[in-house]
Amino acid sequence: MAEATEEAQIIAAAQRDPQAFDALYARYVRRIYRYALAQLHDADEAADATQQTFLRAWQSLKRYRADYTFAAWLFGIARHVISGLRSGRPATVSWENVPEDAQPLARTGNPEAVALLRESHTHMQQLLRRLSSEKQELLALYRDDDLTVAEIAVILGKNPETVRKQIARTLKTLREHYHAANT
Amino acid sequence: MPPTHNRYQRYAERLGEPVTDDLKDFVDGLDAPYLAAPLPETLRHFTPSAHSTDEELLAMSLPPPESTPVVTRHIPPHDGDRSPRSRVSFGLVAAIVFVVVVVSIFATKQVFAPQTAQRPQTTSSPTASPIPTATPQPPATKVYVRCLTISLQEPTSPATNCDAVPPTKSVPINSLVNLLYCYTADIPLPSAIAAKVTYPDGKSSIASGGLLVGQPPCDGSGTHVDQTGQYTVQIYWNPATNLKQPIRQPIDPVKDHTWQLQITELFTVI
Repeated sequence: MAEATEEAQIIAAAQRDPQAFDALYARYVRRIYRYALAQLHDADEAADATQQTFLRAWQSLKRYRADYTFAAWLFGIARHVISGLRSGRPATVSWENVPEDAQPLARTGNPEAVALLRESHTHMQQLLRRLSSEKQELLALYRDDDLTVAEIAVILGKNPETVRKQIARTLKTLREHYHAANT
Repeated sequence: MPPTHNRYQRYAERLGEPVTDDLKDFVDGLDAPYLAAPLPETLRHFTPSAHSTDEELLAMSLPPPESTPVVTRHIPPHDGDRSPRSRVSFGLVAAIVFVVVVVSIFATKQVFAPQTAQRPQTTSSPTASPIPTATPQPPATKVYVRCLTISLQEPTSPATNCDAVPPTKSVPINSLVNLLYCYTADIPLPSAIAAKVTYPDGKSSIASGGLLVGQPPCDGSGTHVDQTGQYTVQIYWNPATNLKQPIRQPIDPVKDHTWQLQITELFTVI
């Protein structure tokens, strides 16, 4: 609750003074970038999408009303930006371009386990890409820890219960494929 | 940053399973690359100029400036080896030269600033005599300049002067084009520079960056300023993948590629 109040104050300040927007940017830039990257699979395009998202948010912040959360509003903008970028563009680079030293290590730290884990991660990313764009989008939103199902429903313009079921169904399907490939 | 226990728990609940190593591996595979992806340097700070359209650039209000008015000037092109296409482009540019727009918009009031002065110049020296300056800008305003005095040079041609060619010029895709923005000593240093690039597939983007002296950014585009005051935007494009490639993945020049990269406009932010 305190955090929501603090955020409301930051938003109000940014609506009065554009320079105060920096605080909102700092708060959300990583989340929006990850969301964009999860869907665009390209660091440059994700960075472009993130910039465009914040630019639009910055320009229209005065029109923001607290009918729903700022996160839902901002992710909604990002969704439109990403949708525009996705249409008609060719497939681009993959997750493998994440620098190796930024990739996670296996819990054991054993080099062989690390190699196996990376292989399974790569496979997971391939499975993810086989999902429909709608399901990829759903999971991209769900992977943001701080977005509630209700907020995801607002962003997607769907019923929360429907979204909840779709997330569970998509995860289960993905889990089954992942499990089948790793046994 | 590995997924946290809470994250595992969140997925476990959604899947109706307990948190096991198997589930953790699944969640790691799903989320770890997502969580580990580093935030690009270009996103460290909010720079509204960086990726906007020209209309947005010109319509935008900005934080307070460091100072001083801004001028642009036009430097006529050399006759050298200009192609027919660039001649046409120059015609366009000549027409546009008279319409150089300098717009400043107050942070909240959306007030247009006076236009800058601009005139042809016969010398190509970057230290040429000062040009009449525009009416001083009010404080708390940044000015975007649609710059028409850019030079394009092949990467193999070191930038030794500010010989101008039309800003709309098609150049072969040989991985790198330098855009040189000429200025005189009375013009404040731009804090950012941006070039609108139209790709062969018809899409366009604004390539830009802050002033990163001697340190090209990793997003394939950016600016560099040297002691002589020449600004360079480096734009990389890989025709094989249609990607703007980061500098960490250098591209071999595609010598015989026929596609063209078109620099259509250049903006500076002062």
